[in-house]
Amino acid sequence: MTLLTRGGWLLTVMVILGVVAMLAVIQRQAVPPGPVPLAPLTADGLPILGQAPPFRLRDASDKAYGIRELRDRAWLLTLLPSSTKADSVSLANHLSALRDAIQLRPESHEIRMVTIAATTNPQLATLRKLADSDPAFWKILAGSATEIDAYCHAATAEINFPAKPNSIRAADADGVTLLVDFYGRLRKVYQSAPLLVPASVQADLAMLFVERLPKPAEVVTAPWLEPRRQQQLLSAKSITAFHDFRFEDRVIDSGITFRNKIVDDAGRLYEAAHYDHGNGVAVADVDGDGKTDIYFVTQAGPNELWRNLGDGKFENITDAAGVALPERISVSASFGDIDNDGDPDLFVTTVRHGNVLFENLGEGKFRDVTEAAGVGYVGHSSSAIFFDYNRDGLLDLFVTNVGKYTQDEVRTVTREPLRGEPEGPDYKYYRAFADAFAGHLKPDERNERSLLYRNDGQLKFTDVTEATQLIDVCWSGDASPCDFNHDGWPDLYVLNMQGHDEYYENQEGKTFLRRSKEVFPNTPWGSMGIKIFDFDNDGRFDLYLTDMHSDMSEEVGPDREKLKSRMMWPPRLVQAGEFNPQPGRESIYGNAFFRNLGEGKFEEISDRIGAENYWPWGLSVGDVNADGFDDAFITASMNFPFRYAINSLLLNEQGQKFRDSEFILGVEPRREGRTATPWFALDCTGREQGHKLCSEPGVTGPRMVWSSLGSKSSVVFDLDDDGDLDIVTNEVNEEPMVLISNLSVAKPGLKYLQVRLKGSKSNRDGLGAIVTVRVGNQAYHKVHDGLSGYMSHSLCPLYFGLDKAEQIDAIEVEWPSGTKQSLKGPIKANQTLEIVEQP
Amino acid sequence: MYVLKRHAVSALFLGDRPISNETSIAPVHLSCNHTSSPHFWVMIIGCVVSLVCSGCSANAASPPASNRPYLIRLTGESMAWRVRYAGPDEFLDTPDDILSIRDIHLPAERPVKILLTSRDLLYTLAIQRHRVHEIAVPDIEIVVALPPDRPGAYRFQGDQMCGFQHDVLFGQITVHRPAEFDNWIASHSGH
Repeated sequence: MTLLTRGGWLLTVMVILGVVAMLAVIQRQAVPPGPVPLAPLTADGLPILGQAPPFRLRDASDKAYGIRELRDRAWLLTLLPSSTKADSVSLANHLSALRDAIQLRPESHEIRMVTIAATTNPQLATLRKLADSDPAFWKILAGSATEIDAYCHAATAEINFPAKPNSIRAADADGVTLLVDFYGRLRKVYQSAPLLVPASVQADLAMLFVERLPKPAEVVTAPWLEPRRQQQLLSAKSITAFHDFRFEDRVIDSGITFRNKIVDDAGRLYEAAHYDHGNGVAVADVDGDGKTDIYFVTQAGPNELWRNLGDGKFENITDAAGVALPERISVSASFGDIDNDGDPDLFVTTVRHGNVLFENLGEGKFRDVTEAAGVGYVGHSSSAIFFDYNRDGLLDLFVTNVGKYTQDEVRTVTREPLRGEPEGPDYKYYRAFADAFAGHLKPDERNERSLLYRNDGQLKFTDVTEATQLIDVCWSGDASPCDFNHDGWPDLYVLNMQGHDEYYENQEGKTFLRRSKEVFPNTPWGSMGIKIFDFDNDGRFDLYLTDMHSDMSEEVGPDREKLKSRMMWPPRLVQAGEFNPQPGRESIYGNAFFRNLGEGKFEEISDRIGAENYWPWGLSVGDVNADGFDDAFITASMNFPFRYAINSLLLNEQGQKFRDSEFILGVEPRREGRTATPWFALDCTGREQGHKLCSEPGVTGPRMVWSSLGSKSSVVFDLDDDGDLDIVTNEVNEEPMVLISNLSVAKPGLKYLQVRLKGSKSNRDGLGAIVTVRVGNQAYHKVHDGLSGYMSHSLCPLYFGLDKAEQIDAIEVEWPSGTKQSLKGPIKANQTLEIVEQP
Repeated sequence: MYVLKRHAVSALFLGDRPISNETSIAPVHLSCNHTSSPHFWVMIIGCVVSLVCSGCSANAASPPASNRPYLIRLTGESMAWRVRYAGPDEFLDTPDDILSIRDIHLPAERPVKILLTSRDLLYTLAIQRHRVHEIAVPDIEIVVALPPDRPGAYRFQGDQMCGFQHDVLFGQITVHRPAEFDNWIASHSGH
């Protein structure tokens, strides 16, 4: 009995095990193929079959999506023409199995799946449900049957097989999947769903990754980015400043197609020179329609002027405006009304191609008046600022010059077809010195004075640099007017990117007196960006400076980005001993924030308030959450050949502290999680085998070198007239970001005031005016200096966030002429107010 | 005065002794081949006086050899360090100089002066052991002083400033006992 019982138990167990095994087999047959082992990377190479035609269709949330969103991604494009005969379960199973397999790969964030089907396709709902778990990775796009069939024909027609099999024709195929590489090229065809074997597709994808050469390798992965995001999101709870809103990069929706283009010395022939400082972006209402237009600057090729059509849309009016300057290597742009005729004129600096002054003829048409105006300096100019130093009502011009960083060898900029750069006229540039960065150590040979031009009226200027004793030979990229001694005469703070900054006090419009040592004994040694604003609303203007060069003194990991640099360069390079020879205190090795204590005294509090960041360039300031305290956006990242660095958005917490908020507010990560982009192509077995990168182990054949993305200049303004501040950047070698804020929707009871100034005795733009807005016991102060970002000078209304105030009690304006004007309230919030200077 | 041209540097840290024989030895040698010159005897006398004074001066004022800095020139060129050692005559830029690439050999128990320069790019030089972090700049010679050291070997690092090849300018500094170093110099002279 016992034995029987035991045998019965044994039998029962065996039966159960058998059933389980059978179920397992059935289950295995029923489910789509599971994840497969990761395919090793190989470099066998896939043929180039053609180019994926552009498309723009609607995704599941009815949002437009197209080939531009897929830039710099490898993608699998499944075409389902209206004639598709595929069994929906089979296709869905294969695609979802493929999705699961690809997402196991560490590079999956650089891969996308795109399925295109007619809205009438019965499989659409099933596919959308499957893709819903990660809609950013797998896009199901739909259009009319005609539209989809036309695209399928166009895409498959591109496939350039020596003997094209009939079965590739999409119209009668049962779904075709195409492998598209990072550069939009068709590389493989999977003729039906069952051929989408995950292991095989992964191996094909792996070949695409082998073809590229990211420098450094981590630019395409940035493993620290997601933990950083998580950490910041967790910190959001402790941020008291309003942060429940987001920015979204809508450059594609805006219609803007501008793409900055570098010279080879910032790319394939990289030299550590000042070409890697990028370009400015400036804004102004060039055609008088009340909307703010954007002028993007590039090194190679035409600069572009984009007219604001409203509702976040733009059109390119460069050719009609006549401001392209395609034959020059441009640097910066500055708008200012030099002839007080009510429209913004434009000054553009260049590298040895002569600076250019355009007079605005009205309605957005410009003419070059450089020669007659006498401002066509040929050298290594950087930014230019308009200000009225002698208070005669005409805007004068201060042009910063970096120093001689180029030699006389001229080269043609290389076009990069894989970046989508078409053939066209040659762009010439002067090659940089290999030791350009040490140019300041050879002052006799390489220093260049910055220039002050006095506006004499009638579009004529006179160089008064010597006459005013404003002799500045800093290696300077930017400057700002200021009035720290409150005498009404605009002083100048001049940045030095390779030494101590300089501060000059204006002696009643006649001369300038250098008072750097007395007022600012310690400054950053590698200053790049500057903005003067009232951080804590105490009525005194503070000074915020970004320091780029300190961050190139050592390898800075993500954990040290908020700390000052451990300065590695010797004192002779830093050149600050004249000011403070005490070892270790020669300079500030990072950003500086000088809190104005009044009476010419400043306190450096950058670390206390969290003003440090990594590899910064320019600085734009604006009250992005409209709480009455100005926030800061800092462009950052060095591009090739350095790692990616995030742009910083610092929310001002009641004038006490900046809080890092770029991840919270959607500025980082960038659209589609991008951190890198193709920079230049190399053929390491061909004509470029002598290139330094080709000498690296294992680097052979055609390679595409990738670089980290990076912003250099930015401007903060209300782009779409919805009452909140948006951000536009100028990137290096890439399209800009158009970061649209949803604050006007997300913040109930948003209150703000925009003030547009119109001078009469003063210059027409009112540049130099100080505006105070009073609400109860609170006063908000802003200086209208035009400084909008690195190497950029713009004309747009002053934006005052009013927190919850329904109305304004008074507005006071101190005009550059000396006129003090007061507007009594109540004045309604949420409007743009034009204030005309009283005669 | 941190930017020092080559001869200025020589005068600075060699005191009464020239770094190079370009301006002293060579002219003497040249003049001896021109005995018919009217200035011949004047020059001979000058040479003799000069040599005597030089010897007197060396005996009276120069520190012992072990206290005098040993000289090398370290030049960054084509992403490599080129090292020029003063040969047995202890002068740089003379025919007995020794040249090598990448690694550096130094005598122990004696100060060393490195004349740091570059022929193309900007390079950085970091010798952690002596807390040195310097730059090599074309047309500028920067003096890096190392204190007397014990025999041994340690690494030094170099880099192209803001470049993208970060591992090719590393090297080793070997500090030899004085006799061994003399042998090393002797064995490499004429190479």
